[in-house]
This record gives sequence, structure tokens and C-alpha cells, in this order.
Amino acid sequence: MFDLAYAPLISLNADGTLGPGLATSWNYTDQTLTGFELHLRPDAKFSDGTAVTAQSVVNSLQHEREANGPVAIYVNEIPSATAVDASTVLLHLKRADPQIGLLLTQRFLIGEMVGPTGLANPTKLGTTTDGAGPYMLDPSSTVANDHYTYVPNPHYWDQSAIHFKTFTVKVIANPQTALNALKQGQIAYTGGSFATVDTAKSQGLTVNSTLSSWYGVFLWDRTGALVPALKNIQVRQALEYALDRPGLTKALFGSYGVPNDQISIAGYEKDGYDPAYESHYTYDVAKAKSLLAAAGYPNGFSMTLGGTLAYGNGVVMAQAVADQWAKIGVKAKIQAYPTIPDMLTPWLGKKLPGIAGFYDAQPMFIEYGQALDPKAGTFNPFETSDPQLTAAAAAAYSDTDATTLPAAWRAVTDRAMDLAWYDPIATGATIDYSAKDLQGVALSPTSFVPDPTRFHY
Amino acid sequence: MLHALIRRLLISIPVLFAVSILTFLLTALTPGNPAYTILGYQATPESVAALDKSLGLNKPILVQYWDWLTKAVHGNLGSSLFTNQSVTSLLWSSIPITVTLIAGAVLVATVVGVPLGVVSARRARSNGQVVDAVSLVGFAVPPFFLGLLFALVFANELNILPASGWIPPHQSVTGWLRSIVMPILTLGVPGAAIVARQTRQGMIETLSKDYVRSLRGRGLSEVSVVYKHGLRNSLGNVLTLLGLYVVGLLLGTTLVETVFAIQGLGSLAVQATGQHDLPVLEGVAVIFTIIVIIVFAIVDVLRASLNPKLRTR
Repeated sequence: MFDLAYAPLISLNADGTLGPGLATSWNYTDQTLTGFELHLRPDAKFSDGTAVTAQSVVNSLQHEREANGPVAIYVNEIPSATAVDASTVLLHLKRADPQIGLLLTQRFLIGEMVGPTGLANPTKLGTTTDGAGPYMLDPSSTVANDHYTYVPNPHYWDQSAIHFKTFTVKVIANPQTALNALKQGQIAYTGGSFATVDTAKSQGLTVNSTLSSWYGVFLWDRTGALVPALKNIQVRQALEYALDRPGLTKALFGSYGVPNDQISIAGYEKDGYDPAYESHYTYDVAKAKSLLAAAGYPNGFSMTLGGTLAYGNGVVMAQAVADQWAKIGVKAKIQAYPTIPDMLTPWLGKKLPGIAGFYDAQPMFIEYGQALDPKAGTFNPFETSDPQLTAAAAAAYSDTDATTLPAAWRAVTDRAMDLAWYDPIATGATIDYSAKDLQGVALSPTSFVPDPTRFHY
Repeated sequence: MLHALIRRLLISIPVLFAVSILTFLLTALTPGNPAYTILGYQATPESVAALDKSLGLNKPILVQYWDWLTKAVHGNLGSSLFTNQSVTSLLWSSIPITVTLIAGAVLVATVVGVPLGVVSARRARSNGQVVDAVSLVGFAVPPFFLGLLFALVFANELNILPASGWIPPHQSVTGWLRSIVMPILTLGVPGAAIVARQTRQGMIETLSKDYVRSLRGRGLSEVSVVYKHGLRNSLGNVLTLLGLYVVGLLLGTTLVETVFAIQGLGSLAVQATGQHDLPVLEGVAVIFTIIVIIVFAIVDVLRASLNPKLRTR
């Protein structure tokens, strides 16, 4: 929804490549990869007619940092920015960052600039927009939580790219209602899920999908605070070997998933995915049992696994995993939660040794900070650390050689896999449905949320 | 009667307080943090703590309640934690929708249920069994299932009614009527079944009383006996039932509005609950309570108008 009104500095194309947005070109200022220069287009204006300048970009990024909102984790990679001239912005990066271009696209939001009017009164941005995108919110035709009506931004630099006189985003909570509305022609596009994809197909709707996320078990209690057995690396590896990933993938994802035991997905070979580590944990119950016995748990152990249907069909996935772990004597009790916030309380309160869920694939450069670093927060509630993993990440973060960098990040993935902190099962798809005549709905592993500004008939 | 009404309204003030306190405490005791819902589950603990502080969520729950109450008594119900919209404006845009659905459902329940009950009470036993069976089905079928069934038939297969959404009457009267048919029927059909059953039982009981035999003996027409005297004396219990039915409808709207993607008080409550949006939840709870108070006041007045003995109480 943000994409309609807020143009990004760099545009993420459907095939995952980068294209011009508010900036028409960009470059690192030197080999350290810590300075990144953006050259803005001269004709970009915010929806109130104010020109998009280097200073307005600096101010918008500054606001994002100070607001400490959902994108803080990304914008903190850019501690400061300066306006070199009216149309050139220099970003001073926290560390060598080969992926800063991707971070500035619409996928991560931080590149979507807010105009000076909006920054002057941020509380109004809940009910109005002030971006340089092709559309702007029409508050008079909008009912919050029901529908949001966008109209063309008269100051957008490419009026030929505006395909609709009004663009309405309708809030529909019930997936079946959304399918009915799409079939009837009330709406042209909606998100989908594994649960409704067969119905959508049978109703003749266009199903769009791309493999985008890894699904599996997240073992939080690697310190053994709740379940002493989980502290032992052999035990955690035994849990990996006990999973029949092809079988689980077929049962849980059908044709919308492929088996995967990495905390990255195919398509991210330059950013952490290691083809050499594919099928590292091939299903082997005997090996799993021997690892458990060697670790001192020949009869297995008991633990709790959290899950919510709202987060990657987690309850079903947890149950399927528990059934397989039972074969090696590990008894996993499933704790189901109605919503993600409900599960977050025990999760962050260090009351859950593990959960079932999914993680949208990201370059390991970003994923390490979110999911592996001792200070990762949500995805490392017990603040687990491993010297080898930390050293591998430090080496990758300081690597400024584009030819060696992929291997450096693969080393991080490999070590994380050896540690078995996570038990990925499959790479699952992002699914959505669209009307037959709607064009511009294209997805890829890097760009798995379609850009609505490209929709057209 | 007037005194009774005033007394009822005075009692409603502590009821409103009790509901607001209960809503606050129940929401506070429910696991979950709105800051995580706003920031996303990948947010850092520092970001969450900062947002908690800026929203005042780090204060003790009683302090939070007092802050809300002192503003609420001055007419300020606060703002949504998520959209930053004033709760009052959210409620004002949702109340007409939910009230329309409830009024429509009550209309369907009455217009269909009462005549059906009267007719079945006067006719053969088999008619009564049919009404009983239909009532049972109407009562047993969950509203959301009925809604999905209606949507499947009238929107998906026949394509004669819109699958979702609410069209304001000022935009298009025809569109508005088409958009409310299925939600109202979903809520009203079970009501009609219940009302028919209650009316039938009341009528059978009333029509078997001695004074009805006397009226017939005095030569009054059957229409007059049944509708002027019988029905009038049977409607008291039906009205009470309708009052309770409206209370049930408030719950029903949370499901039906979700099924038909209509932004009334029900779906507002569902969203606010999922998001732990306390100011919005408080606003909806207060409005729901006020609706219940008003409905029972109306029921009292109507019952009194039907039964002179009640007017002096």
C-alpha cells in the first residue's frame, strides 16, 4: 500500500534486479563500500508539488532513524547522510554494505521518501500521504480499516505510468470473502495462501507464486535453560536428521514448496545460500538416534513447540515435525496460539524452547543481524552466541572484495547450519491471486510482493 | 413508567464504568503487545520499549485506565494506536452500519417470524412441527456459515449480489440495498426462526385461555380474537426475546461483518482485539453497552404500551 504513494529511491524490478526510482543512478564512492552516492532525478516532486531534493532525502532518512519504527533495523545501517548538492545524496554506511541498493528499494520501505510537509506533522501521515509516488491517498473517499482510495499524484514524473483514475485498497479479513470478491470482479488482486490455493484454482483465478521463504522450526533454547538437551549440538543435529523433508514438504506445501535445510533459499547464491550444503541433513533416523545416544539422551527428551496458524500455518507444521521427532523418542508438546502477538509474549519472555514458523528470505548480510547475532533480539531471545559464527560474520562484514564476498557469507550459513539453531524444512511459496486480465503482477524470490504501481489492464 | 426508565438509565452509568474497567483489565491481561503489532515481530526490544513509552503502555494498568477515563468523561475517547484516527470518528463511521444491520435483522425476524408463529399456532399440529424444525435449524446454524453459504450461492454462483463491502446509501441507494441483503438475511433468518417459535408458543397459550373463549362466545370475529387480543397478549414475551436477540446480534455482527468485509462496530472490535488496540476496544465496548441499554429501554416502553399493568410499575 505504501508503494502507491511513496516512490523508492531505487526500484526493485519483478525479476529482482534494481532499476531507477527517485534516483536514476548510484555508486559506491570507494572500495570500502561504506559510502554510497545517489543521483536524484530532476523532475521528481512530492504530491504537494514540493521538489524532491537531496536535502529532503537526508531529512526523510533522519526522520526514519529518529522514529525508531518498523524500519529502524534497516535504516540504522545508514547512521548519517549528507546532501552533496541539490540532487546528490551521500549515504555514510555503518559498515561495508554490498546490499545497500536492495535496502533502498520498496521491499524494505526505508527508501520510500516522505516529503517535508509530512515530516513537519508526522501524526497526520496516518490519515494522509506525502510521497513522490504515482498516487496519493484521497482521505475524503477513504474509510480506515475498510478501504483506502488513492488518486493520481498530479506531480508524478511519469504520468504515462499512472494506469488508474482511482486505486482502491479494500480490507477483507476473510480469505474466502476475498476469493469471492475476486471471482465476482469486485477486486482485481488479493494475497493467497496454501489453504485457499486449490479453491482459487478451481474457480479459474490466476494464481501467481514464487518460492520466497524458508519454513521450519526455530530452536530458541540453545542454552538449555528450559530444555537442557537442546544445549548439546549433537541433540540439535539429531533433530535435523530426524526430519523427512521431502515427505514434510509434500504434505505441508504440495506443489508450492521444495525441500530445504538451509536458512537461506535458492536464488540467494551470492547472499548466503550454499549449493554445496544442499541436503546437508538428509533424513536418517538411525543417525539421529545414535547422535542422541552419544549426547546422553538415548531415550529422547520432552519439549514444547509453539505455533500459530497465523504464522506460516505453524501449528500444523509443528505437529508434523513432532510426529517425526517422536520416532527418535523426542516428545514435542504443541502449544497453539491464536495470533502472533499472543505467541510473542512467551517467546520473548524466554518461556518457549522453540516455535514453528517461517522467515522471508533475505541476504545473509541482513539475516545475520536479525536471526543469528547474539543481539538479534526477537529471533535470538536467549542471546545465544558462537565464537566461530561471530568470527565468520565479522569476516564477511569486513570483506570488500565482490569476488570473495559470496563465499564469506556462505561460510556464515554453513556454520549456522552446523550449529542447528534452526531446522528448516522447505522453501515455501508466496501465493497471490489476480483477475485474468490484470497485468503487471510478477513475482520472484527477491521481489515476492508485487509492485501495485505496475498493475494495469 | 417514566420513573422506571429514569431508574434504568441511572443504573446504566455504573454499568458503563464496570464494562470499561473489565474491558481494560481483560485486554491488559491478554498476552500480546501492541508495540510489536505496530513495529512487526522483527522489531528490536529497544524500539518496542521506546514505542511503549511514547504510547504510555509502560505505565501501570490502573494509571492507564485513569488517563483514559479522565479524557473519556470529557468526550475524548483517544486515538487508535495503529491508524492514529480518533476513536470517536471511527465509531461514528461504524455505528450507522452496524445499527442498519441490526435493525434490518430485527425487521426480518419480526416480519417473518411473527406471522409464521401466528399461522402455525392456528393451524394443524404438523405446521407447528415444521416451525419447530425450521426454528431448530435456524438456531443451530452458525451465522458465519450461513453467511458463507449465502455468498457462495448469491454472489459466487448466481452473481446477483455483491460478495463483500458496504455501499453508503448516499452513494447509491440500489447499491446500498444490494450490499445489505446478505448480511441482514444472515443475521435475520435465525432470528425469524426463534421469533416464530416463541410467537407460536405464546399464541397457543393465550388462545387457550378462558377470556379468549369468552371473546369468541361474545361473537367477536376470529381475526379480532387472534390479532387484537391473542397476539397483543403474546407479544410481551416476544419483545423480551427480541431484546435478548439484539444483544446476541452484537456478537453476530462481529462474524457477519468479517465474512462480508463490512467495517461496522463488529469488525472494528475484531480488528482492535487482534491488535490490542485498547482505545478502540474501549470505545466499541462502551457503544455496545449503550446499545444494549437503549434496546432494553425500548423493550420496556413497548411492553408497557401493550400491557397497561406494566405502566404503573
